[in-house]
Amino acid sequence: MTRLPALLSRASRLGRPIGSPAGLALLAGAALATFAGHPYLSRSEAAALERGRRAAAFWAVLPVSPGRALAGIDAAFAGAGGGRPGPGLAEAVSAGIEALARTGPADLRAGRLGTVAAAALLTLLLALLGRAVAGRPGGLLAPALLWLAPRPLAAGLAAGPDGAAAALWLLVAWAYRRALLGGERAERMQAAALAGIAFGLALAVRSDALLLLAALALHAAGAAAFAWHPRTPPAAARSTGARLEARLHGVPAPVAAMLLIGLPVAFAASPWLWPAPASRILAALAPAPAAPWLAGPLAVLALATPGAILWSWAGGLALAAARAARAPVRRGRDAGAASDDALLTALALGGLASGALGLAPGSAGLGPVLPALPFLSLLAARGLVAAAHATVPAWPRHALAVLSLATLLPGSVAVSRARPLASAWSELAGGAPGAASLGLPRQDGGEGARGVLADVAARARPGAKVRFVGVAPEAVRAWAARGLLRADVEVVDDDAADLAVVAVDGGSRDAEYRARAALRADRPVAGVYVDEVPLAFVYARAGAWR
Amino acid sequence: MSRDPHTPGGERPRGRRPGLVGAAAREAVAEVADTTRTRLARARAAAGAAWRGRPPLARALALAFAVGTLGLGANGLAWPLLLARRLPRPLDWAAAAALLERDARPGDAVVVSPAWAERAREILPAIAPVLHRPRAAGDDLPGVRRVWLLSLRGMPGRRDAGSSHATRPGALPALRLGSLELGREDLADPLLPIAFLPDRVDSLSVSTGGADCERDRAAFLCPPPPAGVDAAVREGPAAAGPGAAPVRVERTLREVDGAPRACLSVEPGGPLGAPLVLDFPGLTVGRLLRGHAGLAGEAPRGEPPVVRVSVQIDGEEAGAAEVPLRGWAAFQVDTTRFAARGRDVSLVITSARPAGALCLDAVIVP
Repeated sequence: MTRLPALLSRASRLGRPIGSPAGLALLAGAALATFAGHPYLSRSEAAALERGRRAAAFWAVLPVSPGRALAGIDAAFAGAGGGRPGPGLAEAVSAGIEALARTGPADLRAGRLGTVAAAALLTLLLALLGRAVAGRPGGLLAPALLWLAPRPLAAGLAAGPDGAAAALWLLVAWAYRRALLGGERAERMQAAALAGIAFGLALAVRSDALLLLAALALHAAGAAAFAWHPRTPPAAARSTGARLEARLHGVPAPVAAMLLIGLPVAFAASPWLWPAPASRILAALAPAPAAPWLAGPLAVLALATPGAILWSWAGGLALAAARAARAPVRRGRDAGAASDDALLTALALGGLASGALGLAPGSAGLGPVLPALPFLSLLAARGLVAAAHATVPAWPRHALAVLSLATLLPGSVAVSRARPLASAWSELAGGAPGAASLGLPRQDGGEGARGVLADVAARARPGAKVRFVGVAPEAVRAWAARGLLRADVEVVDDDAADLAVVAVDGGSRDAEYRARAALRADRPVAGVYVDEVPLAFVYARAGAWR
Repeated sequence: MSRDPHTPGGERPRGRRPGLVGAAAREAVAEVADTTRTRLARARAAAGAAWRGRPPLARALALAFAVGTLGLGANGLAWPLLLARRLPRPLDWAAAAALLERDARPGDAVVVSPAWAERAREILPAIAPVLHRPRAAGDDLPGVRRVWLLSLRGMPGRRDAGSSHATRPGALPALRLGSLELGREDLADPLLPIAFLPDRVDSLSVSTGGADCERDRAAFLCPPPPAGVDAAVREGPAAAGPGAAPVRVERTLREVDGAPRACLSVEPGGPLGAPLVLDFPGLTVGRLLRGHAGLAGEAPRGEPPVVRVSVQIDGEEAGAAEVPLRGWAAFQVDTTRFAARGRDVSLVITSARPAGALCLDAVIVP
């Protein structure tokens, strides 16, 4: 017993590197990379992978044969189903990493490594900013509040632009904050340049990043009005940085960098803009057709996030918004905290507005509002820490531990129940049964059909022809390459099939009914269910199912 | 006669003296009022003390936030356990299947509530097909005499599982089978058709513009309408001309108005160059021909397209209906004067405006 304190102290010392921002980033990256090989590939993820390969091929051809590459810009950056061109930098980088790391068609992990790298960067920045705004516990809580919820975790594991967009939004915020608060002028100018470059890349990943500029300009105006940041002394006016600052006529350096560096970087990294920049920018900024409110990203956010985490996000946001609103009254007092409150609130609301207004690309689930979630997590961490101190001033650490457990445990349970399916619904929606009753999507796009492959392998007659309905062809190829489909089973796409594996995602079921009619099968022979809600059925022609 | 002033009570005021009960009631009221006043005063004092000793606003908000966090955290942890308790177990499904295996008979159907609980389609015996929920809500149920109502107790989205059709006495009250509940209603006025026309596809022949459509296994391929048939043709995706896809007619299952419908589909939709004639030879004709038409897949926005369905019996028009294709639209033609065996029934379909894939069914009612 006498050795226990010494042992605990030693364990604490050993665990300290893991609790550091870099340690957390490595841990998150390693954990996500471990799970990223799962075979649940949705239609939207398959489309992102395919789009990335086209964009990566464009960048590979550009230096060798610029004329040929430029002639094929529209095809290389076309949206899903040959839709209008759009940003594709994140997908292209992911495809580049996939090309380097690829070990065969069965390895879906290679295509997701780009997203995993973005998730690791996001974790690092969350830990750094969490420490900065909520102390050491904030550095641990902020990443946990983001990743211990099923939907954001699924976004961190699925190929697509949303994870990279979230990481770049946070990088811009981190660099902007450093540029305003950093010590030396050179250090601040470097941070401003980084904010500009990150903003440009964010625009090349998702065009709704323009809202970042609006949110940060608003914050900068507030900072100037309420004197949140110390003015730079004019003493060192001979340095290059000082001359540059003088030329900006009061415009904060990071905002100027976003305009002067970010926009050119965005243009250079967005070949889809090159043929007709003005018209394509306007087209990209046009809001998408309004979705039914229940299918919109804000409704998904409210109904898919575990209640305790959603409460902490909302509480943190309300606390920060209230503090920011009181800034004019408290002029000069707690200037740094007021600045952080206003910054995080503006960016969180900007990310949510992007999803609500339809400016974000039409990704599945939480994708459109994913850039807002890191800011909400930071605000939640700040709110929990503040609540622990205010509630039990004598034992704030104990109170924080209890509150953290109450917030994070349900999310952890939900993650373990949902993984690797991306489309979990929280207790607020009534889980999968409640969501099905409300007509909400049951999966992102056909990935649940993976669950019936064992039955098909066991019971399909030898040489059976199988048709997949509502499932990405890429997913079927990956399953076949992994051996999840029997070698003698032939995949077809017409009425000659003996079996139909049909994904049920809550949308139109016309294709399923036609496949049923072609097989003359009224009832399924197998199915995969989550809490009794069907995700996929197998229909079989008479004699094709043993 | 005056009252003697010396007798006891003689000087009391006039009027009835209150009795014992009245006095007791007055005492009780006074007691209650006194007690209430005292308690209100104490409560006011306590509230005042509590208000004076209230925590600062920031601490009160923090307390509320912490309590909310703890409450929602506990709820989030308990939720999976509660849900697992409410879900039916394999034994419950097996019991329902066994009961239906034993008691169901031809003409029975099952309605499941909530509608998403489609495991029933996989598990329950084939003798009692599972109807899609919207079909039971006021739709015709051709051939169905009894409806079994299977519901998952305590599940979100569970509604009153009644079939919304008039029923007659003798129904089976709901039985509890674990987390499932199974009851039965006997329809008072079941629709027992003489023929369901989409099922007569083996004897069907299809023609358009006087030319027979080619039979391709279970489907018919009709020539596409020639170019410039109608000004409206130019609007349609199935615009005619060289290379246009043939019109395909087949017996299939399509989604119309959110439910599966067994029907004869005409695809691609759009204006027909000439009326499409579906001939069903040798049918017994009753008093009515009832049918439905709708567009498969997503419903069109705006004004719905219209098709004209003419019913001809032995070459004579018995009636016609202009059917706006909104949802699963019903039509009906009186065929009483043609009621007899061995009649040739033709449905002549004309569409004046572009439309999606048309889904059409019809039954002959005795």
